Amino acid sequence: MFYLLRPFRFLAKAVTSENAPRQLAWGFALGVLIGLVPKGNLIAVALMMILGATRVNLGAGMLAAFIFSWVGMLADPLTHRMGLAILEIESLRPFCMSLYNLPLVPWTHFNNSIVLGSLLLGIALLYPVYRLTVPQFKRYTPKLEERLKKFKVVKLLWGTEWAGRLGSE
Amino acid sequence: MRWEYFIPRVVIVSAVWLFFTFAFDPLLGWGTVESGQQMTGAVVEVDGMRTKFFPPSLGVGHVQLANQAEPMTNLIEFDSFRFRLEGDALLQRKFVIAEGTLTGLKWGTLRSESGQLPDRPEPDPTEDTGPGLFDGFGDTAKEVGQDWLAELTNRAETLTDPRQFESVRLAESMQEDWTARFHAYEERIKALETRVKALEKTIKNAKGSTFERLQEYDKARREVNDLLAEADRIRREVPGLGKQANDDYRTIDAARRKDIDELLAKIEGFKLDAETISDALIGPELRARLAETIDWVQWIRQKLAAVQNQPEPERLRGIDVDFSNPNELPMFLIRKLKLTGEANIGGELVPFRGLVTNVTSDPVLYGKPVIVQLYGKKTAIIQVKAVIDHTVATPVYDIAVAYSLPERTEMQLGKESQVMLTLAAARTDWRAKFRLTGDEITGQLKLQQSPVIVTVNVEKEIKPEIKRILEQSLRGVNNIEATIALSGPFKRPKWKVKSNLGEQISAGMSDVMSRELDLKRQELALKVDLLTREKMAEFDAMLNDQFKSLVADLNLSEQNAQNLIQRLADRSGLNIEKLGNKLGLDKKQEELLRKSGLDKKFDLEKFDPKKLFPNKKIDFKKLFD
Repeated sequence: MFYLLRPFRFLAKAVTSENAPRQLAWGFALGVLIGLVPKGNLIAVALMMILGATRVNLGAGMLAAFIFSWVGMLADPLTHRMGLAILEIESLRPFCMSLYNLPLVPWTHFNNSIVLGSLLLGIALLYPVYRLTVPQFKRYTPKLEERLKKFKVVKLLWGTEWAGRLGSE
Repeated sequence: MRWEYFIPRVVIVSAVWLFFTFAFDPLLGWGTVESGQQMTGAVVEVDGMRTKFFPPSLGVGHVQLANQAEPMTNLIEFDSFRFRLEGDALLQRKFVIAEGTLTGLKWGTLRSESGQLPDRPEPDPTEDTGPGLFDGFGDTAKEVGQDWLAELTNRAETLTDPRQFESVRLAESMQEDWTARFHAYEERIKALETRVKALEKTIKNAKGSTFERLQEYDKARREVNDLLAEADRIRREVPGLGKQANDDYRTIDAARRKDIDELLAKIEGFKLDAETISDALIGPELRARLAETIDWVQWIRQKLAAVQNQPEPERLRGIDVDFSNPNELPMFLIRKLKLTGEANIGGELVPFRGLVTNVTSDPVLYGKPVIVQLYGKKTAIIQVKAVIDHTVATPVYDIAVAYSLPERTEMQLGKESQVMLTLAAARTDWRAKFRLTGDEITGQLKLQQSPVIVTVNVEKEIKPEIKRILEQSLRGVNNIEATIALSGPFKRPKWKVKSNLGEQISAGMSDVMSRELDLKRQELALKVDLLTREKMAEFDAMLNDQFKSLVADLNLSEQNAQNLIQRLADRSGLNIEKLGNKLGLDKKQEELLRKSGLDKKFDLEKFDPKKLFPNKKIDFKKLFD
């Protein structure tokens, strides 16, 4: 039980952390990008690794990825057109071919219209999302923290004193 | 290091590691079972699957693929399958097996549990689950066998059946015709007699006045004249019958001579069709072997087609633009696969080893055909080489199978219910070579056995001469060479069976029959001659008897008619003296009356007494009182 709740506690901890708004916003922006890109390819794996490797908020990133996976499907017509338009540029074809024939690159599925389109859309949205979400996190995190602390479940997630200490070190 | 950064990432990495360590192989196994079941339509069992990433390799444990048509047997079973993927190709998202090993491969093994999928209906035994290549072969072979035996029986009966001769049939037929013809004449003569008798009766019983009786007699005389004319006609026709009879004699004689010639020609040309005999005797055995081989080809074709027509795996959404290099490797390729296993050949499990090369998902891109080579040895030695070329628009399958059994075997050919030959051979060799291009098949299957001892068994109902003839024919057979050649559509090919057995039986039988017939040639010719002459004599006697009887009857009828005429003349003629007295005529006038012929005939229409005696008043009423 303790181990199962741990990720949620970290998320809760991250959300309630004082210097978290920027990390939350970056996590959220990366999550949007991950969410938009179809899974099952090396691009998605690489983005997940970036999310995991950087000091951004994982919880916010995962939440955004989950939400934007559904949004991404709605955006398919748009991303498909975008990706296809780029993939069909004749002058880019030699570059694409040489890229595709590099080791590991075929696993990225960059030659798929939706993968490429959603990747580009996600990248384009990365910074705007960050900029838009930073103030929101700054504004709502303390209020949210106060409210959440009233819930027993949050107290439970908050964990024991040593766990709290472990988390703050 | 901040724990709040480190621990979540450790958790994620651990989860990934746990997945690949504990869940990936079972999931892969489950996926293999599901896709296998979808492909075969029956239960697929996979005992253990082990993957390695460095180097990338896979090992599969004991696998059983149940047979959908026979759920209690396995279509294929093997003990293990191990292979290593080429790293460079894998980086290019290509699955290339440089070398794989498949061990313990077996076909048609029994299962402890049914291999039927729970959600699938039970296989319908009447359903055509097989390739249907040799539908109707059995019936055709049966017909061929019966034809051959019927032919043989017919030939044997040639020696004894007189009804085959045209002359005999002709003589019998003419005899019937002549009987009918004489019967018709008899009828006509009988009718004459009947009419004569009727007239006699009429004259005898004539009543009324003299004048009326005269009229009656005159009518009767005219009818008698008709009867005589009819009798004359018959008399004139009868000599013509003799000419007709002579013609018929000549026709029968010509037929007799032709019969003898034909019989002698038949004896000379007596030869049974070697191909028919081969087909009837050795065809079923060859076809069974052929069907077994071709069924496998069909199965492989079906499964390959199923693999090629598999629905595309669920792909990413959108469109994939192809940037692959035209000279690159196909998506899936087995360069080399080593096989070991056991094959059930003639009831014996023969261990074999083999090599399969160039199995690929895109043969056109790879440009090389699949080559399968197998070698098995126990008591028998078997070698198989198949070249499956899907690199061209119409796939071509070249299959060569060689089977040698250097030990004594017994093979039974033909039908127990008719003629059965038992072949005991010291060595048996089968060679099959086929080419399947699209749906067209060509090729042949060869059987060689030597040395052989042939024993003949025939059913009780079949004439003992046939057994004797067959035994004599096969006395010199010490090896068997048979070939079945196929061509035409894969599902309904045409076949042709050739064997030295058929040729030897045919030639032997011809010899035996010729010898027998030579001995009987004179006897037969005499028999035909005698038979025909006998029939002709019967015909001749019948003609003579009938002719005599007819002429006698005719003479009698004519005599009766003449008599009747005489009697009529007597009655109708007038007594001139009496008439002269009545009329008071003198001698001169009486003479005049006589000269008028009135005493001989009396034609009322012409007779005019006033003209005869213009100066004399005659009381005619008085005359006819």
